[in-house]
Amino acid sequence: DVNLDMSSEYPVTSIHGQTADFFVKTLKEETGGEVNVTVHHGGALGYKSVDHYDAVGDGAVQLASSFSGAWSGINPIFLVSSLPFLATSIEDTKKLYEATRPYYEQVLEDDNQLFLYAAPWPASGFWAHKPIDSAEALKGLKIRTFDAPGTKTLQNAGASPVQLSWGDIIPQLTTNGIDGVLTSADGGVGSQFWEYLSNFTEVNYALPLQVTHMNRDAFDDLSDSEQKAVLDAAKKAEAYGWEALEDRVKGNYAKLAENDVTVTTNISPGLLSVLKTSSAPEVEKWKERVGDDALTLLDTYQKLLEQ
Amino acid sequence: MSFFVKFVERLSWLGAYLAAITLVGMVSFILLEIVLRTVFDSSTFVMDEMVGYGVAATTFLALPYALGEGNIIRVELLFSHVSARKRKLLEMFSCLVGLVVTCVLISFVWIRVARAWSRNSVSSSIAEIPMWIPQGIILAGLCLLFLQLIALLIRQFTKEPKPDVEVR
Amino acid sequence: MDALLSAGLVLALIFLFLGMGVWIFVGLLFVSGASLALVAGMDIQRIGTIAANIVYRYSSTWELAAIPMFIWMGEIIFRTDISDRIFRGLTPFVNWLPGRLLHTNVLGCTMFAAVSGSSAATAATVGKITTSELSRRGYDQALSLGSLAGAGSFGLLIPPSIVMIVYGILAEVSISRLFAAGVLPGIMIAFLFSAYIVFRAVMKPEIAPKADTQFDLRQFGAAFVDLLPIISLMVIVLGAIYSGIATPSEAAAVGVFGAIVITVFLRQFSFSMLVRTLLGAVVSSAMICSILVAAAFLSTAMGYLHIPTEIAHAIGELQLSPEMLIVVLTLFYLVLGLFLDGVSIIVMSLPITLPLALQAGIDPVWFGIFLIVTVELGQITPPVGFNLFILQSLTGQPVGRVALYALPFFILMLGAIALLVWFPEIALWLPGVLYD
Ligand code: NA
Ligand code: NA
Repeated sequence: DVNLDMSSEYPVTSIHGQTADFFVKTLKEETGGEVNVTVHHGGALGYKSVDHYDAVGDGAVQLASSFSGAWSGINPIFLVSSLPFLATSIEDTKKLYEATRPYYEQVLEDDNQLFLYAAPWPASGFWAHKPIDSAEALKGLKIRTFDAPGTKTLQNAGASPVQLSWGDIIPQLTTNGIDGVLTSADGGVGSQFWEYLSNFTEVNYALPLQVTHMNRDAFDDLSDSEQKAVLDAAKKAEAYGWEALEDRVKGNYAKLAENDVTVTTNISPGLLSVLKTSSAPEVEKWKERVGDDALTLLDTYQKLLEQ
Repeated sequence: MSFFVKFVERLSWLGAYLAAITLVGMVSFILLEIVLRTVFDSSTFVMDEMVGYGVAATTFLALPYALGEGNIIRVELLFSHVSARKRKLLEMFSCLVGLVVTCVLISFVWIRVARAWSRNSVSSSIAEIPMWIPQGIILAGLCLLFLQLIALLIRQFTKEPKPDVEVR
Repeated sequence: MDALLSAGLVLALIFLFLGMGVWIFVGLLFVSGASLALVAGMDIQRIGTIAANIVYRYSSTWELAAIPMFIWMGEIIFRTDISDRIFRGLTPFVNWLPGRLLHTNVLGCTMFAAVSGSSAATAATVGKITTSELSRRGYDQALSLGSLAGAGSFGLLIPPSIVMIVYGILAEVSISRLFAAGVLPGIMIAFLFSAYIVFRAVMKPEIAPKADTQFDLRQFGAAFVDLLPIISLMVIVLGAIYSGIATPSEAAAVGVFGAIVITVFLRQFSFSMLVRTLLGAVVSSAMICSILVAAAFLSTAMGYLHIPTEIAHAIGELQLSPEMLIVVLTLFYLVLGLFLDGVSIIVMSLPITLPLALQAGIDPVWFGIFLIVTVELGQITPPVGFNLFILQSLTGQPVGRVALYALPFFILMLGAIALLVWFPEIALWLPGVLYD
């Protein structure tokens, strides 16, 4: 019997918590109970996504499910799925992922680990007191952002982004310290934002990828059939994750409706163009940091889009 | 020997002062963030990151000094019931366990620092802080702790061991 | 059962190393590493990698920042005459109450818990101000330290609370409801503690020194003036939080700022005071934070050994009735609380125990409050109890004796859990009124 540990920063009920459980269950079934993976949800092992990169590479933990944006300081290539308005639908995100995957695989391989699968988080949008459907509505909005590109983009677009830790959001919403939060409908459902905010505006800001990866030595130690089972379970878990995404989005919107949150899906072309222009410098900066790989990656993505 | 002990004492004193300055910096940073957010609708965008590094810095820079001053607590159960000679043995045992632990931590934190340096790892915030800096500060504190433990060990062999517990 | 055996081994190692007088943070780090080697069979390469990662990750978290800052605030109050004024000012007001100033710990912790989300910060800050004053005035040490150890954990129960935020996010329960649900149980436990102090003082009046004289109106006026500095400080910090100017995590910095401004008004501000309070603060906070970091590594080690998850799974297989489930879970959390801290216990066990509770028809908000009271108990049980450690460092009294002093308050908190089980409304009434 092989017993392995897997670390995840997110709650067991989150979309990637469930995908991880599905992967583990599938792997167990396919190996007849021989490969057992214990998932430590909610950061129970003490690791954050940014730690997983080396924790898995060094074999401190054999598997992990990680938010890839957290690795942008280790290698900027991992920021690609977090770049605003590069891919704004599930189909586009799939294509972006297709173009990106070889790079992720290579970078992880160089640091002694195996890329298993990836699936995105639901698209982020604006949680606020009013629909943020025009450039005017966004002006001066004191909104909490979660990463550097988002902060810069919203700043360029005339909003007043502030940075808060996740735990400080609720107290700040209660006291009207902030007017809004940039996150997915999913994130808002998890923390019951409807108690403070009445509107969610879908802008499909980005659908960032969550990557599941495995230590190279731990994988090599498995028998051929077990290795095959791992890759097979990864493939199935990936399909599950992408499918779950669509169900999740539907489920989230149903919950928002139940709790009287107005969902705005049509934003003005003016706002969209403002947001796109505002995010352009961030994409440029990213290209500069990554170098030639960024250009080829985006080229491949463009070709996939045109197909 | 006593030169070494004095030298370590000075160094840990310096560490404590750096920790104190860091604490002032943390408080100022948060106050700045509050003013920016409430008055100017703006933000430093990196407060929790920077203050987090501050916690690590104050903890590890002040730890050697706190240990030297006898302010790091232990369970006194055995200590208060045995002879002075056995007390010294227990104290040496503490130092040895401490040296083992710090040695392991120093080697593996060093690996992290060296890796962060060679990879040019930065934080993912807009500050893009080189990751070897906060980890290096922890490393410095651990090295100082290592020296302090050796100094404590030496003190057990010299005539007048420093009083272990100072009740404040 | 393997998990119980491993847990027993780890506990034995902790007793051995801490008992031999190894500094607590060193002992916990060593035992955690040794458990990974002995039980999980890991090599030094892997253990070192894990330790370095956890030590870095946990020591550089924003959530810890309140500890050094609140301790600094406590030092400022302690090393100026603000603390003396507090006690002079309170004296006429508590004169009629059996136990008199012994109630300051309970009252102080209840009030401080309203600005601080952590129990370590609550016990350390309030204790810094009260312990030496109370013993100087001849109050009974057992009651003074015991009540402080117990009441220190109000920091988790009375909002704002870090543990509630963690639970809320993991269990997808409204954090506002949790905050509201913690208020009444917190006040109830404070009343239980105070009632116990009254009871002891009536039975044995010498535990509190005799009242000086009867107080007249003029003295009440003077007393109120003495209380002004601390009242202004509370108003500044609470005002900053509830007006939205500062988040609860930022409140500590506001507290330091407020305390400095007040010392300027009292003409007690000086550079040397600043340096002395700062050095005192960094030393105490290095002591506390190093233990918290070591405890985080211990939690990680327990996670790798699957101890909490396996025991929780075993409980799930017992198919218990809701009442029995609560009894067994209380025992489970008490055992984990012997050596783990509150947040880690919740994080590690929740994915298993929450579904059990929901299945048994237990309200998730109520379950959150139940969890917090049970993990609070772990703060005052040896061998690893943070409030005990903090009190030892404040008073020099050995951990074992402080634990003994805390025992009556431990029992009172168990009683509070029973009351919560019989009358769930204690927790659920206020959120119901506010949010339904
Ligand atoms: Na609190
Ligand atoms: Na305990």
